[in-house]
Amino acid sequence: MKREEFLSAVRTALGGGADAPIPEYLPMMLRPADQRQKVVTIEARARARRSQLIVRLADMAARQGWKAYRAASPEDGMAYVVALAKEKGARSAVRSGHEVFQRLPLDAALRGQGVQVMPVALGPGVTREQLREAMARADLGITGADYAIAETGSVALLPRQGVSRLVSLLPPVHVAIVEAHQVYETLDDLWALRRMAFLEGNGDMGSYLSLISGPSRTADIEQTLVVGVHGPLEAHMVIMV
Amino acid sequence: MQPRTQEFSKLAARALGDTQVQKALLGLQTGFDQARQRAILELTPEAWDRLRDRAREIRRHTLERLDYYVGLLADNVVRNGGAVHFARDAHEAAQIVLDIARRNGVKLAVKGKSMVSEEMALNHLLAANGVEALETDLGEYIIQLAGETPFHIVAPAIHKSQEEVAELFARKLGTPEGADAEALTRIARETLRQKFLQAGMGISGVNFAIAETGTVCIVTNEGNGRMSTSLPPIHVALMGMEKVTPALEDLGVFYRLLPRAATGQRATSYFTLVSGPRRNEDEDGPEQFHLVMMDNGRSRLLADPELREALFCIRCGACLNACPVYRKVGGHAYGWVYPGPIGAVVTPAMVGLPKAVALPFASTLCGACREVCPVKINIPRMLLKLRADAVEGAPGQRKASWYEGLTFRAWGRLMRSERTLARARGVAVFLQRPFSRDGWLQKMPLPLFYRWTRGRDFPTLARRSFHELWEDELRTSSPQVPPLR
Amino acid sequence: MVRASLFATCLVDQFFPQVGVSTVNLLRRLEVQVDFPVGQTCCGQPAFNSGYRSHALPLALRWLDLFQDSEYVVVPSGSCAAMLKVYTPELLKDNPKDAQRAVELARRTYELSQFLVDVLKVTDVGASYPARITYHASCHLLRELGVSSQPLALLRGVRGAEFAPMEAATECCGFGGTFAVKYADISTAILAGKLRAIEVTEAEAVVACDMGCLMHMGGAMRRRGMKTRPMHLACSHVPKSSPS
Ligand code: SF4
Repeated sequence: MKREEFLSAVRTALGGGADAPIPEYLPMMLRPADQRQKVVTIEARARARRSQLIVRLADMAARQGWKAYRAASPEDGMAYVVALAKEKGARSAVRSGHEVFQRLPLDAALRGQGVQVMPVALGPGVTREQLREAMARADLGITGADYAIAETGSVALLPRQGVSRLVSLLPPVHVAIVEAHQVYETLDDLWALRRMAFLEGNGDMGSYLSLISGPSRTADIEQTLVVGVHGPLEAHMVIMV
Repeated sequence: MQPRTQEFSKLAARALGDTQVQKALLGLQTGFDQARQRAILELTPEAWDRLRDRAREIRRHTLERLDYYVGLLADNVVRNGGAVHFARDAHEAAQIVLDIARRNGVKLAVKGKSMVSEEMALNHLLAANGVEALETDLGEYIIQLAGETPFHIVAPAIHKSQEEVAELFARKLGTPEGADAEALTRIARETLRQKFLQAGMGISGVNFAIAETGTVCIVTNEGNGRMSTSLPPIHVALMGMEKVTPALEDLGVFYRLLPRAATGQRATSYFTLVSGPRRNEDEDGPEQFHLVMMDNGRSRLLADPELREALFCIRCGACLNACPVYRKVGGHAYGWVYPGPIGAVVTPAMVGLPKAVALPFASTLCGACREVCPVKINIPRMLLKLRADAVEGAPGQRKASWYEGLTFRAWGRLMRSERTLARARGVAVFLQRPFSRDGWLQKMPLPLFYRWTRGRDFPTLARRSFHELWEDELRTSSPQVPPLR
Repeated sequence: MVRASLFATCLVDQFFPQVGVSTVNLLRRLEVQVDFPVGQTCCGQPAFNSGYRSHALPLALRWLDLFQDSEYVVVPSGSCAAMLKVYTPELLKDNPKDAQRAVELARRTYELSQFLVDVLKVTDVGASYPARITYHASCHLLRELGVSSQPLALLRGVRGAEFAPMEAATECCGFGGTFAVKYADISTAILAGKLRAIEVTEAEAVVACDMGCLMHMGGAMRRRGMKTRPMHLACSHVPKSSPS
């Protein structure tokens, strides 16, 4: 069926013509400057309340089934991940290319423990297929975060160069490193920030957003909760305070 | 899916006699329904109510100009690099998906949960044409292995016991018998993991679609939704056209309502927003993104001001869990994709009222559905409207029993004249005498009414009506007891 | 002095006149001047709920005509009150004049417990009923009229009564008018849950504000030989109450 036919059937059902004016919907009418203003307010509020938000984030994350850890220092955070790798007997890890890892020498720390670390980066001798293979085999998937939402104990991830969709999905254990400045209060904040990105990106806010609120789970058999279905069996949130 | 809506009574009787089904249905009450109530308390009932009202406003606004928002969504999906397909009905929609699979030489498709694909009977069409379509949501996977249809829109296999699933897996997959829920889940994980990696196409449903940004949103817990939209080179998203909403900000309302209403969750494990295929700079993701938008009777609901509200539905399943009838007969009795109270409203629009006429009548009109609905859909009122359509509506819609028609005509006569009524009651009081046992009848020798006394006694007409008592004793009498003040 | 017209409902008129008598006595005792417009029959609910709106319509008009001068209309039934207050104005929508009259009359129409508590502002009517009682919240009363606390307040005011709350008191009993015969087996299956809930209260009487539900539950309780009896709220609130 052609688009026009389809839409005209809808129009007929509504009893209206093709010349009806464009409806006004407030959230869509905010121009970039207004949206920017909104975002500035959100940022300021989040900054002002950051330490409370971090406490709330850790609390909600735990309730959502994350193992949440508030790291007192970068070293403390790395130590947590290294200990986790050790506890899991992990031999290999894949790591996404989030900026945080430029500041955090986590690869070296893990390698020091004998864990093979593969960053998500195409390079000489590394093809897409090999990366995918590695992600499917890895014991640990380590990512940063683009946003963390206190309200729901969530981490939001946006794919881009160096940031695969699969690192947080294929390995049995997912570790998300959250930095303090990424923590926001509510889901509404997140949508406002993404709309800003949409406006600034000339109508492109990227192909994907994963809002992750705990490990994968199901209750499809007799409503029995089972954690770990197709996604990770375990999810760790390390918050760098 | 072939509608079996005409077999409602038969299928309902079967469910009533099935102890396992009855046990599972009892569990829905203590499980999902109570979880929902707890989640609302956590948020505070006032906040919950505000969200519901806001959701209604958004839905009302969107549907009033659905043509515009569907068009805008399509434009923006295309701008994101996706393709949009329009389907008048389920058959056309299924054909579109098959064509995409064929063009790309797809042999295996992995599917996330999609009720729209059930409307399309998509798996059958694909299979008949050499494309294996594999359900990956655990509940759907179980249903597919068993060759059944979903029992519940949120928990498709909830009617099966763990033992039944273990036995099914053992038979179909050769896994050990006696596995528990956790072991069964791991088996599904291992089995389907390989398929995700091999599949040439991922098919998903759509919970919400954002018009302004051209984004489809998928709510899942298991991660199969992310798998199907990340691993295969092609992603096909299937949506009923009413799922569109104007702006990203609307998610602040809908994504707070849906998980709580459906499973009592604050947030699901995953909420996935897809805006077209992978971009050049992305490391991975599908190269093609297709959005199939389907009408399939929805414009019929849209056109009827008294039924339009049915399109507010966000498919949370709360009304099923709260419905006394669904809780007895379960999902299969309704004979179509959408069971329960909301099913009784939308099914007639999809398969035709005469064929589905049993459904609007299969309700006590108790209103529990409306009370729990996150968008406050007044389902009882729509059931009443459909009943009126079935009895007194346009000729093509009508489907009433002549016996019932005669009964109501006679009843109408009686009720319109208190004299005729008084004469008739005189005769009836005389006739009922031999059957009465202290004011109750154990059998009612009347067509249709005899069913009442299968499980319940029926009261006899009082010897004197209230009209008579009033005339004889009350009209002029003073209060029988001294006043209180 | 408050004047109220009784809309007895067809079930009370034909099957349970004692409920009407109790209602009249109760209201008179509270110094309400009660009249009963003769010629009233039924609110039209059975036809309306079954889709036969054309048969419900004349009854709606009859209500308008018979009660047009009433100060208040009191209905001892949640579902009939809902029919009159909520659905009748809609049923009459094709004739704006009648619809307007219906809206105005609907505003003056009350279900009995609603009338006692919200209009007369009484919860203690001086009734005594020394027995264990429980309460079933009828669906239409609860969800169409939003009446939930009024009957409970009135029951608290009954001297000597021992109140045993019923589990899932707000769940449907499975009656649903013609549903109870159309889908008799589903109806009785739903009812079975209600009966179990009643049974565990060990109450002597289950009180409700709707003879439809009470006839349904009562018919099954009798069939099963349960000791609990159905009782309309009006009957639990007159001195020397006896089950209807
Ligand atoms: S009608 Fe309401 S309660 Fe039922 S599935 Fe739809 S949104 Fe949920």
